[in-house]
Amino acid sequence: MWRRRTTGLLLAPGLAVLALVFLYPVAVTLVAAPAGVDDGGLADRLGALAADDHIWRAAARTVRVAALVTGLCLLLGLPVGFLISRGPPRRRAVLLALAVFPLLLSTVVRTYSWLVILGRTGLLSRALTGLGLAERPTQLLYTETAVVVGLTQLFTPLVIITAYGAFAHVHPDLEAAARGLGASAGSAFRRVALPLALPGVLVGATLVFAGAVTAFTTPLLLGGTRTPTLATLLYDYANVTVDWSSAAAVALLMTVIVLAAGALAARAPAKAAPS
Amino acid sequence: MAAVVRLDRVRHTFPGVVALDDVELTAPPGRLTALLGPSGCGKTTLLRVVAGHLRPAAGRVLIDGRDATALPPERRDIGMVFQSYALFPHLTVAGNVAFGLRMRRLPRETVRRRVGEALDLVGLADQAGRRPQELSGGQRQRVALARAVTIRPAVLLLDEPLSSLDARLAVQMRGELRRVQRETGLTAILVTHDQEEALELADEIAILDRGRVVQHGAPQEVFRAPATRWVAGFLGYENVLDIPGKGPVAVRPEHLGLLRPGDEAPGDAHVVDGTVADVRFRGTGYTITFRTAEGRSLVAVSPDDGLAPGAPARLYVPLSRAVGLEGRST
Amino acid sequence: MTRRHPVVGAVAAVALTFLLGPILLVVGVAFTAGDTIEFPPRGLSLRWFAQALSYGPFLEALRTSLLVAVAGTVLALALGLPVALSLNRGGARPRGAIGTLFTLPVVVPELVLGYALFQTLMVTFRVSAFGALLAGHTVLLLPYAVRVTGASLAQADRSLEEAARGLGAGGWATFTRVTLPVIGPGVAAASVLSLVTSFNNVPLSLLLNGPGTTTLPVAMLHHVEFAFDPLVAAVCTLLLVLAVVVMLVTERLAGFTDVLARQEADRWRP
Ligand SMILES: Nc1ncnc2c1ncn2[C@@H]1O[C@H](COP(=O)(O)OP(=O)(O)OP(=O)(O)O)[C@@H](O)[C@H]1O
Ligand SMILES: [Mg+2]
Repeated sequence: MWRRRTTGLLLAPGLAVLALVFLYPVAVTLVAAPAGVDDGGLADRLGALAADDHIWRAAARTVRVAALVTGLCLLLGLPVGFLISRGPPRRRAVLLALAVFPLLLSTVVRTYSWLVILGRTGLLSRALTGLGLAERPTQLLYTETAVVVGLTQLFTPLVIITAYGAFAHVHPDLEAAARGLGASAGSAFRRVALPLALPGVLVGATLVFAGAVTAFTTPLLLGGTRTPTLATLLYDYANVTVDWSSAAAVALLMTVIVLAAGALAARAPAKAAPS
Repeated sequence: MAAVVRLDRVRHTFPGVVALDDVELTAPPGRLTALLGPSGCGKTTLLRVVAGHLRPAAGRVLIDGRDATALPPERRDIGMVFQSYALFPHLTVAGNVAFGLRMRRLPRETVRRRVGEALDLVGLADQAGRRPQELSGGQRQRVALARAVTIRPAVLLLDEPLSSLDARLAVQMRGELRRVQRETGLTAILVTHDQEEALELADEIAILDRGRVVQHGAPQEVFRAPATRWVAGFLGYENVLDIPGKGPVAVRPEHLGLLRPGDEAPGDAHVVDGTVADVRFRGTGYTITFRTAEGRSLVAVSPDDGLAPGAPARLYVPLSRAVGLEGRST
Repeated sequence: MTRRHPVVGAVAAVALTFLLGPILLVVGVAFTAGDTIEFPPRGLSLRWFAQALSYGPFLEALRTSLLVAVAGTVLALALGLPVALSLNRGGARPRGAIGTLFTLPVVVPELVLGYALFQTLMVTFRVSAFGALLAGHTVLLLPYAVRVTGASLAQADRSLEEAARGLGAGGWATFTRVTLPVIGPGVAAASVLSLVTSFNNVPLSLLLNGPGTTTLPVAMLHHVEFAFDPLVAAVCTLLLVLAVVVMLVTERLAGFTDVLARQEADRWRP
């Protein structure tokens, strides 16, 4: 039996901080400029968006890269998550810890390794020349491909961990039953385990997509200035060219894409779930 | 020390459910009142209202005549054994039992002595240093009981304390429970859905159906004279039949007698003709289902199986065992 | 037991190599005796570790990172635990809407949050860069704090608290002697991961720049942008060791993978 006043007192500080340090600033930045900042209102933002080809190209690249990364992460992460969920407990713990361990490392650390591999004097370039497949050292960095590779490595653990959770909830007896009814291992996975795990897998996919759309460090280090994404463009407008109106426009676009992806994913499982 | 608990037209609803429907109930001092009813009938809700974890939408809770409805749980002086036991996982057995005493800021020496006494009472003195997770179900149940009685409460509430034990242990613990209640002389309210447990342990039984007390009395009285058709059915009076001159009556399966060819029915019995519909083995005997000439189903128990489905049979109902249903609500 | 499709095992092996191989490569680079990022390393030495541990900008950035991470986590917990209590025990309504409100900071892109705080707090309200950074990290961690303590509260058997009340404990005593010890391990593990999240964050620190706000990942990023020496590889290796320690500590507290899984998956379950 709680008193209403106690409840209110507990809630108030958190709500106040949220309102002051999050809701107000974000609303102001996305919709209307605060007093004293001359970046115009929503109309100017939309105007900047419509006029700036640069933004649209970056947006297209961002979505393209994010979609590709999501697909690759699913391709790599689903089998691992499934395998872990069906292993003996000891192996399960070790593999899962290995798979998710990278999440504890900064994106800078994780992206740095690709500089070692993809740079002009990097491992891959020297391997190519060494094998006679290329004449001169090749620069593999600063391409869209490099960004895709880096982001895939960055986000695969998210798919593994969510897929693991989803598959762990599908009782192995269900697959055994399917096998007994004549399904091969592959079709037992496709027709029984996967559909049942789909909602969880979808959560993982959404995490990856949103993460890839908003990722900053990796496109900065591996994509360079020649392949800007919305994130690096936002940083550029905000900090380098100091074009606040465009920065706000990019921020708005990025937020809308992420929220739309989240909303889509939130609706999908309800539709897919058998009634 | 023992107090009277009285519920005065207590009413509580959850969205879409009337959990307690104007409940009137008095638990007399020093006695054990069993609350018996099917799952979902409001037993736990009633206990939570008495303990003060739930504020009823209407009505009053009186403890020793004083209105306790608005008192917070910690000021009601009520010991409770939860359905899940609710033992604190971060404290030892002794720590659990001492909790209530520490809250009362009793001197260290007193706490130690009373924890010792309580553990002795339930026979767990040698387990004081262990954690609840390391105990068996029966041991946990005893710790919960010791923790509840050690604060010397005015009232002891027990929410299905035996339901998570296996059948044999549950029967064994019944004796324990009764002994502890007698020794402490506490007013106790025991919630159960097991009628045998209620009949064996209770001084009084209250039967709850969909949030209402439908009958309240001594176990023998409730058992012999169910107040409604529903109570009769709930207490195992599975057979309903018409007896000329008596109207509809309810009879327990074990009270239906089977007549062999040539046997005579006792004088004060009503005889029914039928055919055997089904025979099922049940360990100590057989459960036999009959179909009467009027198409009713009757269930009886018999020690042997000299009957096969389809065979004609004669049954008799001793009139003293037939509970008349005429004039009772459904 | 059941037999697996061989393809599944093969893909899993490839995936794990792809995930962990590059990270191990960096360790190799860090031990080089040469002057450039190279694998295999040109000779072995510890010189880049020695350099990293005495390089002023990194040391100062490390101090900033730790300060912000610890202060941000403590603040987030101090604000978030009461919110979780009011939602899970106090019956605050509308519960769903309030809960969703507190997940928003992780849904909005961090870069957008950083930019918004820069504009509003630093430009309009003239808050210092450090103040804005700390505020930013606090709201970023707030959703985790609310979620994780909320999940621990939801998991904890409520009858434990009722039992304590019945035994004579008041609201505060129940909280400190029963609720807190019961949810403690989960909250502690989450706090460690919250420290990690803050420590690793790049976008906020990058946009809220000013004197004394360069965090370690940002300092590393700047270094990589302009220099091509293995200094950062050495730092990466040291951070790797730190991460292993964190993993072992959290595992002991509450099951590392469970906590991490919940933390990540919760983001998109409003
Ligand atoms: N917190 C709650 N919110 C909504 N409905 C509830 C709540 N607690 C109980 N109910 C409903 O109130 C009714 C009575 O519940 P109660 O727990 O008192 O039953 P019970 O007799 O103890 O059942 P059981 O024997 O299964 O323990 C049920 O219909 C239940 O669904
Ligand atoms: Mg109950």
